[in-house]
Amino acid sequence: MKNVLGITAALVAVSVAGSAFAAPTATQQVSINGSMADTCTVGQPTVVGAATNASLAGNIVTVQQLASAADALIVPTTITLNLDVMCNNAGYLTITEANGGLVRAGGVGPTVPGQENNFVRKIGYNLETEWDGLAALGKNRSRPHNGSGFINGNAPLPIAYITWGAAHSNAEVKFTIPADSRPVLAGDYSTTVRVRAQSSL
Amino acid sequence: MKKMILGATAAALLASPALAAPSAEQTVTINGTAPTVCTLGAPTSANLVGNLNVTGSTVTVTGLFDAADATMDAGSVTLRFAGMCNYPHNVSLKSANGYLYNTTSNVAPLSGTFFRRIGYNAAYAWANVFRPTAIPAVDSTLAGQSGVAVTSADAAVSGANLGTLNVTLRFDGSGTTPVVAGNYTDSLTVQIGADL
Repeated sequence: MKNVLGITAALVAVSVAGSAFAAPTATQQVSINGSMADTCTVGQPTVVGAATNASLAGNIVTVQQLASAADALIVPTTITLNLDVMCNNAGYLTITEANGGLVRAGGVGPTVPGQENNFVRKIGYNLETEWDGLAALGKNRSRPHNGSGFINGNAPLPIAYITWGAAHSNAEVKFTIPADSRPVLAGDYSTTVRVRAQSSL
Repeated sequence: MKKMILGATAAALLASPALAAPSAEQTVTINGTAPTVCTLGAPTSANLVGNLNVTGSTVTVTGLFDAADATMDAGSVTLRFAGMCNYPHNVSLKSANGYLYNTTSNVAPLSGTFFRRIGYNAAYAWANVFRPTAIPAVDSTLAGQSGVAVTSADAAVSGANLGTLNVTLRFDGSGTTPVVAGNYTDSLTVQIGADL
C-alpha cells in the first residue's frame, strides 16, 4: 500500500517539474480500518501473601484442616487470591457466591433431635474483595456459621464493580473462615466463588 | 479514565436480558473436610448415695465396707462426663472383670460363706439412649479372681450429639454375708464413638 502512495507522489512531483499546465492526474485514497471488539479476560487465581491453613492448586482452594481432630472446632483459615482482570472498554466485574457458606456434601447431616444448633452444619466465612480501587456496594461479605440446617436459601446478590472505561488490574478476593465455639459436624464441605468480567452492552 | 460505581446501575446491568456480551470468568472452589471426632471429659460426681468417694476418675468403695461385721453396704453414684461426637456413633461400657475382684487374696475361705468378688450395676444415659443395666449387676460371688470382661450391648446414636453422658454405678451391698478382706478393683471403660 505504501508503495502505491509513493508512486503517486513521484508522478505528481514529475508533473510539477516538467510542465506549467495541469497534466491529467489520478489519485486514490486508501482507508485503513480496524475494529477491536470489546473484550474482558480473567486470569487464573494466584495466592497473595502467606495463606493460613489453606492452599491453592489451579482453581481449587483446599482448607487443610477445616476442623480440629481433637475437638472438631473450626481451625481459622485465611487465603487471599489475585485474579488478573482486563476489560478494554466499559464493563463490570461480578463476584458471585454459590451458597453464602461452605455446605456439607450430602446435606446438613444428622444430629440427635434438638442438637441442631449445637453444631456448625454450614460453615460461614468473610469475603473481602477489591478491584482497581473501585468502590462497590457490599464488597465485603460476612457469612455466619450456621447450625440450623439452612443451606441455600436465596442466592446471595453478587458483588458488582463497574468501570466506565478500560481497566486492567488484579481483582483481590480475601477469604477468611473465623473460629466458632461449636464443633463442626463431620463431613466434606465446599462452596464456589465465581469471578466474572463482562463488557457493558 | 473515568471510573464510577453506581449500585443501582450495577443491579440494572445484572438484571439485563442475557444478550451475549463479551465476558470471561474463573470459578474458585473452596473445599475442606471436618474429621469425625468424639470427646469425653473427666467425670464429676452427682447423686452420691452411701459412703462412696470419687476422686478424678477413681471411685473408692472402701467406705461401704463395714469394719464391724465385714459386710458391704449399698451405695450409688452418678458420674457425669461432658461429651461430644460430631457424627452418628455408638455408646458403650465395658467392665474389665465383670466384678470388683480381690487383688490381694485368692485364698478360698476355710469355712463359712464369704463374698470374694463384688458385683455392681452400671447404667448410662446419653443422647436419646438410656440403658439401665448396661453392665448388669451380677451377684457377688464366692468365686475367686479371674473375672470375665462384660461389655454392654451395641447402642447406636443416630446423629451428632453434644451434652452430658451420665453413668450411674450401683452397689447392692452384701447383705449379711461378710466379704473377704483385701483390695477390690475393676476398671470400667466408657466410650462414645466406635463400639467397644
